[in-house]
Amino acid sequence: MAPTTAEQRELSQRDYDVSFEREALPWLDDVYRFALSLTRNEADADDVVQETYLRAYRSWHTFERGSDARRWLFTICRNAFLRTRERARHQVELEEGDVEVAAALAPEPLISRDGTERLLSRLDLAPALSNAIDQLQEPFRSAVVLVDVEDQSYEAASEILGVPIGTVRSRLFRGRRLLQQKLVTYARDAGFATAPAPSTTPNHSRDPVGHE
Amino acid sequence: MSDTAPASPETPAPKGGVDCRVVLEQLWEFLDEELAPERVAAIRTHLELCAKCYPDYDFEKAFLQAVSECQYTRCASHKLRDKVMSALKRAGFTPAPVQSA
Repeated sequence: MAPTTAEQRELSQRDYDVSFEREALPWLDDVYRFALSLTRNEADADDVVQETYLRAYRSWHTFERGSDARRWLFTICRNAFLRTRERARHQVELEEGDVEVAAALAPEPLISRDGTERLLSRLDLAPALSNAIDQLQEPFRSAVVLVDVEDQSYEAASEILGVPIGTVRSRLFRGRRLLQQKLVTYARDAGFATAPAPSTTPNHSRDPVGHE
Repeated sequence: MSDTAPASPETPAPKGGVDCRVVLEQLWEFLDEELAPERVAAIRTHLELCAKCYPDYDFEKAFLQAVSECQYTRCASHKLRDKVMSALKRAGFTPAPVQSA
């Protein structure tokens, strides 16, 4: 006997829910981490995650099967974050142009291997790095979290953040340099007095003597 | 910007066909697997041959590894999971029944 329309609807709804549970819900921790990187506040991150999953569920029929559900959720998450900030009448979006110009003009700190290479083997860096990421300013933090923590490609991060790939690259590289700079400070505080002072020398010109 | 240094009697050909400056500039993109295959091969060859650049590669690789692992301990709380699930159920979501062993 052929299924009735009501049965078909129920079956379709069941498929909808099953696929959502299987493909979207497993990324809850990842979405939470990304939300936390945007809000820097656990309560706000919880709200953004809840809003993200509600929107994702309601729009699940628009998700292209076989594509990257995590990337799709990150995009929704960022939009949800921006929406909550708009609602709260907070200015969240930094003036893109100003930030990029500031990033371009800011001196690149030199992180010499002479002082920091020991850190990677002798210190438990996880708490220090985690703390340093929390302290990173936007827009650098979200680029670092997406690419370095959540393992997104530059192209995916570009789509999620709604900026060109070149902007992702500059934010990411600047964010990484700032993290390394923070590690030097951490090293000094932890008693690694040999850690070198950050310099204004551009990265690519470090140790030019002896290089080709 | 020229990617490679010209070979001359005074200056030896750059290792792997790409000079140290370019390798250092593109080290992160190399580690992020964001470069074209030809450039990846050139930089890989350079790193195998260049004693000056390899430590930089080693350091940046270890640094990125540390960053990638530092926040994975952060997870959504049980409270948040319950909150999300409740909100979804109110929106019509029905979770699959838990299979008993």
